Amino acid sequence: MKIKSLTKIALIGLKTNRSRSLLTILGIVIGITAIMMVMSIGQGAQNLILAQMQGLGSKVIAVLPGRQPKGFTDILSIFSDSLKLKDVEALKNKNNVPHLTRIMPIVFGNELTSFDNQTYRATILGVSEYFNEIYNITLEEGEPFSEDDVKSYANVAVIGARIKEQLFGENENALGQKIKIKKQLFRIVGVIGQKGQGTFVNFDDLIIIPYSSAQQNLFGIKYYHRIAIEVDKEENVDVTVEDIKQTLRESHNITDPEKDDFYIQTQKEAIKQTQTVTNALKYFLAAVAAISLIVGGVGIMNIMLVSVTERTKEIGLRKAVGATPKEILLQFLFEAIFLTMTGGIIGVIFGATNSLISSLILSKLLSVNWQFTFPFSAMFLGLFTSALIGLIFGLYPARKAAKKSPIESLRYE
Amino acid sequence: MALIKVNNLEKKYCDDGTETIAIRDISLEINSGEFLAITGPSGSGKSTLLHILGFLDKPTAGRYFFENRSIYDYSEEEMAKIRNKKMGFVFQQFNLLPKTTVFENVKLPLIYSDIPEKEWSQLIYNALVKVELSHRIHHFPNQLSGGEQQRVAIARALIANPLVIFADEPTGNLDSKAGQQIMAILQELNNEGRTIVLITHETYTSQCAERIIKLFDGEIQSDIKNLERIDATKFIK
Repeated sequence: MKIKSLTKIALIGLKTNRSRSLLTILGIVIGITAIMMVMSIGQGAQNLILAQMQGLGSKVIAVLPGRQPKGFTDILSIFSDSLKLKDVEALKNKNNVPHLTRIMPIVFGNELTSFDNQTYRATILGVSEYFNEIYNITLEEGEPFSEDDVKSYANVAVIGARIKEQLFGENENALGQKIKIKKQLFRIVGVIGQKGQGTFVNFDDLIIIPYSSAQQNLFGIKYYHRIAIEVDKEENVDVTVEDIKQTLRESHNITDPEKDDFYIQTQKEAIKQTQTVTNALKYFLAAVAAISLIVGGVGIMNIMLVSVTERTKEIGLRKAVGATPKEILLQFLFEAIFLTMTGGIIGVIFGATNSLISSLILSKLLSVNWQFTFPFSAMFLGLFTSALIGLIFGLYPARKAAKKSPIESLRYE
Repeated sequence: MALIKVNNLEKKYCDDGTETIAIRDISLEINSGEFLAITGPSGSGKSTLLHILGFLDKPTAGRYFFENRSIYDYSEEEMAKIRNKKMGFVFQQFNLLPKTTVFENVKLPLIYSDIPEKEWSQLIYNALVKVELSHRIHHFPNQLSGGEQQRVAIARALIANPLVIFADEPTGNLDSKAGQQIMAILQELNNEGRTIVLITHETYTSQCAERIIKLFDGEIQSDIKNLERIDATKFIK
């Protein structure tokens, strides 16, 4: 017996119970649709995150204190104070790091801020005067603070749109006003526009001040939380990373690289790490969606068992006219696979359309450039899984059909 | 030459410890081209015997040679192939697939055969001409009368050109006129040289055969040559 006749028999079998067949495959349709959407929207989100990370500029290297965290329990790496002024001075030296163009120490922390009666807990970011160029953000009003402000520990601040809204309300002019941060008054010199969403940081929620005043006036610390280093050309990033390591090891008197009390992040590496995380999340969600496929498969098995019982007489007749047990097995297996594959195909179409619509809605809603990606891998995975589910859950009913005795089946009423 | 030869055939059924013997010590030979009727009251084992002869069931004891080969030498696959190529079945209940056309019903054995697909349409048409139903080819079984349905079943039985046709009470569900027509077709097939094995409890039907075997309580009571054979074809034409 050929595949063609098998397909034909399976089709006739399914056509005679059209509405039942459709209801049966619903579980598979939903499962595959869910997987397709998770994969497609997940890919879109991943692309968006990665695109924003590119926004940081591939020429920026971040130096962090402590060891590279090895796990959630690696607390030590967070509370480290190894990056100090002398390191910045050493790194600034052209002989040590020739490709360095700019260096920016960073400190941050959360403080209660207030203006009049309004209070708001904000993240304070202490940086150099060229932060807007390094972070690639534009100010809506005012200017960044100056080099002199940094040198003179001045209490000046650039605030995010949300901070402005919280402390001043919609219409009030914030520029030139003085807000209180930890009992100290800071004069506002600039405001960042809405949607200042950047890498890892939402600039809407930030108060940006000179790192010098943040260290001395607010946090009372002598070290930095980060040092950002800009390199002249992208291709010099890797060399510079090595230069930075050498310089800091010298400055910290470290001979064994294993004992480094700092670590370095580049955009390339950060992207790689982010990708690992988002991929894991994506596949986890897809696996959750796949559970519905198992439920759908059980539904298929159930209906195939009913079908085998209902068609006992037909099985008997087919055997009487010469169908071998193998041919009966294949007939019912084909029917099951046909059912699940149809469900899979419908699911792929639904999933792709839904993802496309979702991406359009998300683009509008978040006003970001959310790109629709057709998840080919999810499509093949979906079609393959649906066929596999047909095979697995169809096998038991099909074997049951194949084992039936022809004469008892013919007598079945 | 004996197409079918059985020696001391026995079939026991075991149900919840109680043993029922359906047939016992049956020995007979059926020659190629014979028209044999097996009769007997219900419970005499005639259906069981037919099922064993038709490879649909297996005996619990005794020997059965089909074309001089013992059935114990056949695998289940081979038995299915023999049923497909060399045997045709006609049942009391017609056993047509209800939601498929006459054409599809007659085609059924071909699906499982080695006959090339391009010959199928012609074979189906020829078979339907033989049972005078070529005009009903695209009808569904429920659009046909009982007699017509049984003729479709006969067309299906002879589509693969079998050596022997086993008919299990083929006229049992039909009125006498339709029954006569069925018997006429079977006699015609027999005249073409095909072996017919028929079970019936109707005297008229059994009188159409050349040879009549009477079963009683699972044993052969009599095995006679029918001297007053009715020629059913005469009444129809």
